[in-house]
Amino acid sequence: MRKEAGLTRIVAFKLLQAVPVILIISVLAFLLLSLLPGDPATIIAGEQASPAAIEQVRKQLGLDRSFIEQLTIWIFNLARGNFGSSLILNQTVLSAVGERLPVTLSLALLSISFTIPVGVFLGSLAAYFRRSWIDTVVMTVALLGVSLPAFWIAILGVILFSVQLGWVPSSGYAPLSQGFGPWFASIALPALILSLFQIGFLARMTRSAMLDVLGQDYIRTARAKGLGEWHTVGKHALRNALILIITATGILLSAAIGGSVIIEQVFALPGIGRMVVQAIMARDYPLVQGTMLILGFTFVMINLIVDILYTLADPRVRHD
Amino acid sequence: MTDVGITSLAVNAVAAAPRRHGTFRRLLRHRSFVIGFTIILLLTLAAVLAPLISSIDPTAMKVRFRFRPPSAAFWFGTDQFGRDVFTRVLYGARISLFVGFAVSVISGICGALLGVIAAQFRRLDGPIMRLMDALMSFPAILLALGIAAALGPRVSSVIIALTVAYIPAGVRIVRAAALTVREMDYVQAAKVSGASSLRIIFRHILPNCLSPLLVHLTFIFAYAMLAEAALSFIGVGIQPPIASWGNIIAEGRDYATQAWWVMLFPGIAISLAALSLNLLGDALGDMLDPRLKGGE
Repeated sequence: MRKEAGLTRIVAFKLLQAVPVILIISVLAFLLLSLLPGDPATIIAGEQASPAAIEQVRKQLGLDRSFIEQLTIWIFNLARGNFGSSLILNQTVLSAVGERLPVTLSLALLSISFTIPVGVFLGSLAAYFRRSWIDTVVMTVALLGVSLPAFWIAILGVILFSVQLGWVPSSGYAPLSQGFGPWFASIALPALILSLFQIGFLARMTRSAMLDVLGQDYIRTARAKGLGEWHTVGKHALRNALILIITATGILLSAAIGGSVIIEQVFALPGIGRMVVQAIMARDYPLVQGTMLILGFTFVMINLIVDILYTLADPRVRHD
Repeated sequence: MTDVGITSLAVNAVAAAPRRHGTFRRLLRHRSFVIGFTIILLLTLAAVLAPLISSIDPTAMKVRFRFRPPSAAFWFGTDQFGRDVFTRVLYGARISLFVGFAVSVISGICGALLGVIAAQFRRLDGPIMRLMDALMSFPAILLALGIAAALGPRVSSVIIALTVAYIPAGVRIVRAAALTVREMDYVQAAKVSGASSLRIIFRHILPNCLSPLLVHLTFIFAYAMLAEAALSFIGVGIQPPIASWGNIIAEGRDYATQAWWVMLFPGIAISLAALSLNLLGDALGDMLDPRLKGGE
């Protein structure tokens, strides 16, 4: 692809690259059960289980078959959209995840919608006023954001805003169907706390990118032409830095979903993260396995979309 | 308002000045480096010397002394079993720093090797990078959670889980650096003069990819410590009665309104450790690429 490759060709190439990734993810998730020390059936059934109960688990999970057979069945099931079934919930993994998705997604999306404007603004501010007190203050805040453990801040937040001030409920989730107010109140604090790390991360990233852009010749040219500062920084610099934000969105979403696994514990929000932790405690490994797989697939798709958007936004990529 | 153009010229001039002072001298004049290094050094000393600093057994329960607030006798107070929180935070430092250090070193070594192999042996590039893409498709903490849960609640499980979760980023960094370095004249010269590919990798390419990796690993140290704390907090990491900063907070959480000190101090400890490592990483990054940052 020396010359400008067609956009369709790039998209096709990226799609093609995603196929082996999806296959590898499927196999990795399958192998997760084989990490269990000892016999998976015994571990899942529990140490006190009768031999008959252990055999039943073994049959239910297909562990009595050969490794190759198991893997083949696993891949075939996935191809038909069967991600397995939970042992404790009496539900397929897909429906269990689907039921809890709105909670986790609300949390992640709300936190990202806090993160992007604030992070980009702070990062640009610090870059523009480089080495001034504004830079120092903003970067200190960003540094705290990426250093303080979110779950700890969450506990402090609950004590302050729920127990002491009584502004928001300390735990539980109100679905959007109960109205915007209760929904927002139930996830505002967790989403905000989830944003702290991401805002710090994005502000630091934006600052570096902006410093890089502000040092470019075309910015000097824009200034030399007599363009106003607002025009130079707002239009020329920020626009180039925005390309970075597209790339960052994938990382931010991943961090938000990962972070919500932990934050859901503190606020007792019935999302995917809480379900995974409960599944781990109950040794419901098929549920853990299936959930990880679904999330893995989702992120392959998200990264693919980000990659394509990035190619659309930055013509330079197409010349590589 | 700072004139960015002139400032960056000044920075370039500083960078281009003859290096009469060694790198270490320059680091010592760097504020972030000095602060970060001092804090992490003190924390490491506290962790190593824990039995000398506190003569109390971190797991010794004295129900008589339950929930004592911080005092001269119990600097950080006591928990629901009457254990000394200060001692537990000290011993927690051992676990947290060890896990963070082990994860960054092991993932660094694996990342360096895989990254260089991917860059140098083009046929392996595709398979290695697709595997890394696959691992990166999971949010790091979730991947670590899954692996740690399957391996069972042990310190080694947490280290393995976090190492796997953080390898891909290291591989990408080293691979990108190696792809640039291998096109350099001196590498081409070595190739032409008949150096073996192993020699080229270990003598020429790898050493020149290490600085971006070092900066990255400093941040990974911080992330791994935060992740260990999070895993231990939700009960999948280090299990009580072994003290880890994460599980002390988890135990203290239920009594947070009555006995705030149990969860407050380990949280401050994690924050300080992560903060100091992030400062160190920033300072190192600054030294290696003075064009981008200006934290001095």
